[in-house]
Amino acid sequence: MIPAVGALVITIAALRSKSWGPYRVATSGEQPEAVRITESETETSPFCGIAIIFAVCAFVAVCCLSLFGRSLSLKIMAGGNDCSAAFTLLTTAAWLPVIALARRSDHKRPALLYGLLLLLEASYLAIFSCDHAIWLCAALQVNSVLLYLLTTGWSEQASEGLAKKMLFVNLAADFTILIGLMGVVIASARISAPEPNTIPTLTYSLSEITRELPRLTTDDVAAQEYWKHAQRSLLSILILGAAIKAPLVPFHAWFAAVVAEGPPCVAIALVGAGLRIGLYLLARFIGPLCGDLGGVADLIVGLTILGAFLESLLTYGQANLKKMIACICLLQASLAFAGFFSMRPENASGPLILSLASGVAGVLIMFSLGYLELRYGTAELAGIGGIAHRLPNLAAVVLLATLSLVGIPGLFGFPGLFATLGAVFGGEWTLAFLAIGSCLIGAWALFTMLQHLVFGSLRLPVPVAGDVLIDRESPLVATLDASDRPQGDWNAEASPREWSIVTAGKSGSIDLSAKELLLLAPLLASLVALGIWPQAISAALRFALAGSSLSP
Amino acid sequence: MDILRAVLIFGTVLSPLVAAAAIAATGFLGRLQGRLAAPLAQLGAAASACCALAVLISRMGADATNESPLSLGRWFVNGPSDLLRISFGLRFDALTAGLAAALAISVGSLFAGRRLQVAESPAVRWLPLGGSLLLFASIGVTASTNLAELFVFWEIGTAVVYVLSSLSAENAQQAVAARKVVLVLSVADAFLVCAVFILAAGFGALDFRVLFGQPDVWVRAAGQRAGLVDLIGLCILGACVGRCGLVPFLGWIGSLASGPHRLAALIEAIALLPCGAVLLVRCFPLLNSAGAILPLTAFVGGSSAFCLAVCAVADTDFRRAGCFACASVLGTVLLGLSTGEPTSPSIALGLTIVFVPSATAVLLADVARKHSTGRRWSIAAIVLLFSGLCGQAWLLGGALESLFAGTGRGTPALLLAVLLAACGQYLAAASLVRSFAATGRDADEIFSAGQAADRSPRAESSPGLLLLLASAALGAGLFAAVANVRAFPELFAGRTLAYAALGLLPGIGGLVAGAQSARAEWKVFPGEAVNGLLMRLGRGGFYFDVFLFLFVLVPLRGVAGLARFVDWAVIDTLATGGPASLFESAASFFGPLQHRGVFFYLFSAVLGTFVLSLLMIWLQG
Repeated sequence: MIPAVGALVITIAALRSKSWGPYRVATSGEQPEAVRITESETETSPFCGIAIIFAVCAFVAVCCLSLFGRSLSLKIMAGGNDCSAAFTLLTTAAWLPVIALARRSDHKRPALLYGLLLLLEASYLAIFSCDHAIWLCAALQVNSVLLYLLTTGWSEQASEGLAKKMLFVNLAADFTILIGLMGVVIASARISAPEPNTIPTLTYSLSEITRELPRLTTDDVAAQEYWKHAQRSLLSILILGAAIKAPLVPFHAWFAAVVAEGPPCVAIALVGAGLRIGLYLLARFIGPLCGDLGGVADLIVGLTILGAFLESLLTYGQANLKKMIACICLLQASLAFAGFFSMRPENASGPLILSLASGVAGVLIMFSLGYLELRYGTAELAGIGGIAHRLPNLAAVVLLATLSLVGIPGLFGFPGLFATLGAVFGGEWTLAFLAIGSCLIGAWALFTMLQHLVFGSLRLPVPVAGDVLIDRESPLVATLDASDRPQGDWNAEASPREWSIVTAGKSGSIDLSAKELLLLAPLLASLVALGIWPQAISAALRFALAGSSLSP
Repeated sequence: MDILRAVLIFGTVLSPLVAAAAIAATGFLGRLQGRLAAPLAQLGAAASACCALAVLISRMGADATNESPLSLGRWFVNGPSDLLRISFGLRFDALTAGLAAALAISVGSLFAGRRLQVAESPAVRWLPLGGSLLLFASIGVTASTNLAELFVFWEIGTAVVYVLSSLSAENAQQAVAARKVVLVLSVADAFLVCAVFILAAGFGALDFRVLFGQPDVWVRAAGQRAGLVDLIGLCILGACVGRCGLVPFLGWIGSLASGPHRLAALIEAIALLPCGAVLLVRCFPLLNSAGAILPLTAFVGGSSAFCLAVCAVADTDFRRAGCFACASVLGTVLLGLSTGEPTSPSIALGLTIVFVPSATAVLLADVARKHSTGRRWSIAAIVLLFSGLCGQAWLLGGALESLFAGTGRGTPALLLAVLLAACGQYLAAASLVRSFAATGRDADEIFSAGQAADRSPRAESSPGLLLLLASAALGAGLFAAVANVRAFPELFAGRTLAYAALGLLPGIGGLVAGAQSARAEWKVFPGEAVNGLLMRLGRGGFYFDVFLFLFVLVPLRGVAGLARFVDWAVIDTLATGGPASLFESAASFFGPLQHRGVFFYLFSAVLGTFVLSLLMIWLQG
């Protein structure tokens, strides 16, 4: 509710100030391309502050409820278990960088942007915490529409067609899940009344259904027969819906494009929370109903690993860094799917950890890439490199997150990846080797990205008119005007001047400030702490999965 | 006593980690970091060495086979019935404690030289932190009690090596070298993780004592599941080959040497090569049972020793030559282990203990200057040890014995491997002695290329440092010899001793040839054609990199490009182009929404809620 209230507050504030439109307008005679939104100007936007306050409140509330809810005997959420808590925590932690990076896009209708972003957070939190089937489906569809509106409204590069494609695929997934869940609800009601004269009990509580349905179908022969016929079609629909929502190959094509070309805040939201919905639904609601899938599970594992291999090749072939990160996140999502179907559902904490870790690391890297765009005012990250020399904080964040994605022990990415790959080895070994191969290719791509972006000699983009130059060699700050064109060999200089789109006198540093590091602190802390002590989350997830799994 | 032992074991492993944490914490102290980092790293290494030596003294004469390891409990458990659970435990027998001590002394000595002047360089600034972490990872690999734990420390080492080598890359060549290192190490990691998973899935255990405590188990397994055992053996071999830079992955060794000399010593002598040797020694019963892999192991070992030694002889850069020569020792280790002699693992571990300080000294030595008498003597002692008195001769002798009178009698692969390894040992010794024996004027002539960067005072290593490392190597050699003789008295039986003497000949020949070549021009191989060809191949690293680039990376890039095309032209079209009419309809409905005001959205939300409510009521009915 907190983000939704935040959106309401922003709406009221906007109505009072009557400033839905752009809050910075180019003065007459000023060239549009010379108008750059500066850091100081963005900081003055009141809506950003409101949004950050509510995002922080949501994070703190979810933290407190997750940590102390059980000991105070509070029913934490509607879904009410640690699996939900983990995903909601990830979402709220990811929303701090989402709001921070929305500054890049808020030159157009900022109040609407921040309001929609808070609503988007609320929809994600509803998805991860809802236990009611109808509300879950409603939240899924609202989420899809909000993503579409944000992508079309605040995108600098994404085409209308791309946003429509995203909307179409997501709505298709939502409707598939709606049909599947309604089918399960009706089947559950039918099974609850085995005698012709008894009144069926219609319940929309998914945790109750997943708890009761396997028990009822074990006890009663007639119910068993009925469920045997219904199970195949219902589970097929639900798994298909989860796969489309995930999005697995072949429903993935829109994802990398939207991440790369859409607004940076939407990219972080998609990588952090959007990509986790499919696996969450699978682990929480679909998995407990599956039972022993037999050959179907092997088929799903095979297809998802083939998809993961394709994603690894796409990762390796990418020149665009954002698309590369999107592809590696898709690769890990596919592996998590494969791992989930390779093991018993109560053992599936490994794939869930992999998904969470991928979200944490993905958000950090996407934030860093978006931050570089924000600072240098360019989306062409191919020209930027060697940031370890001048932006050590940012380089450290990228390095940690990338090593976590690769699966280095001591970071959050390792336990999930290790357990998932180990689970895949429990099945067909050819597929397992393919999974290892895809991880290897993905790791090569990431190391190449690190080599390009973080290490090596310093490379910065050529400044254009309107940019403010900060030269550390001298205390003077000079603005580059149209007559002072940069030299042709700017990139080739041994130690090029630093430049950034900050207002003179407001900021002398282009690295991550303490405030920005504070926004990333929850994610960074989880990346390291859960890497050193993975049992903390593994035990909680195991407990949650065991509680919800009564499959025969 | 148990508490004291636990404290010592923890101290050995955790001291470098504590030092690394302290160094990282000094990052908040600004300028003080540069002053404190190296002493802290030294302190951590010294504490670790002291603890390891104390463990070693307490372990001498004790039977380690019946002793339970120090268990630290489970680190990660996926599920209640999951086999893949990572548990941490530490076990130090006498040789393992000796190796840990050698590693710690070598790392400590790396930071004991003249203070580094180039404080601005990130690689130099982070070297103490990286060195401490690498020491932690290497000791962890050495003392690990199960394969999953070994893999964890192994991966930590890989990550630190990558970061350090990338940070030190100051030009395009070094950047390529760093990328090459990580590519090869990733392959090695993938092989090792495959071995871990196959062992867990196939045998249901990862603990070394459970897996390898009874070698008869593996003999039976080789009979019943030969394919599986061969597959695991292949994975272990692949991991070791990648980690140690053996054929066909030897390209990165030369590239690594182009970076700072302390970094090269840290990575090669501390982090990578000892870990590969330890893995082979730990998995010796498995490797010995993999019948189809043993000839391959022998051939890879022999050819690696030869190729690396040729590279060492052909190279005019001393540091590169030293790197190649050091790595060639691992080829001999591989060959020795492939013979299946029960004494081989112990001898190989002993050789590794000697290898660590001697290789560190070789890589730290700066021969492009005139040496003092003390330094020349210390270097000579190292070279003498290095050339095989304390291990290589036994391993080569063991291979000869196996070839002539043992299980490998008449095997062509083993014959070829022994010949190649003998040549390699000869050439490696010759190359090192030639480098060390050269005086200042000669060195200027012989090693004219590639040394300009090292003429600065900071590249000079003090005689005291080299004497320390030489003493450590001597002590390690004596200790390993005593431990091995106590464990295997048959090593001094007549026939074994004779074969060991035969195995010593290539090393002695190399010493003589190297000393001779320092005074006069030396043609390595008779015949201009063969000599010229091998020298060309050696200078090019046998062009393995080119083959790997052409046959692995280029096809991979092509496939990746094809995948992008398929993704764009086929999958995307099929997934979203098929139901285009529905797509367009949805787009035409949702498209104009973005231009509406906030009240439109509120109205839509209310309407949606109403429709959903109706749906719910209908369903409820």
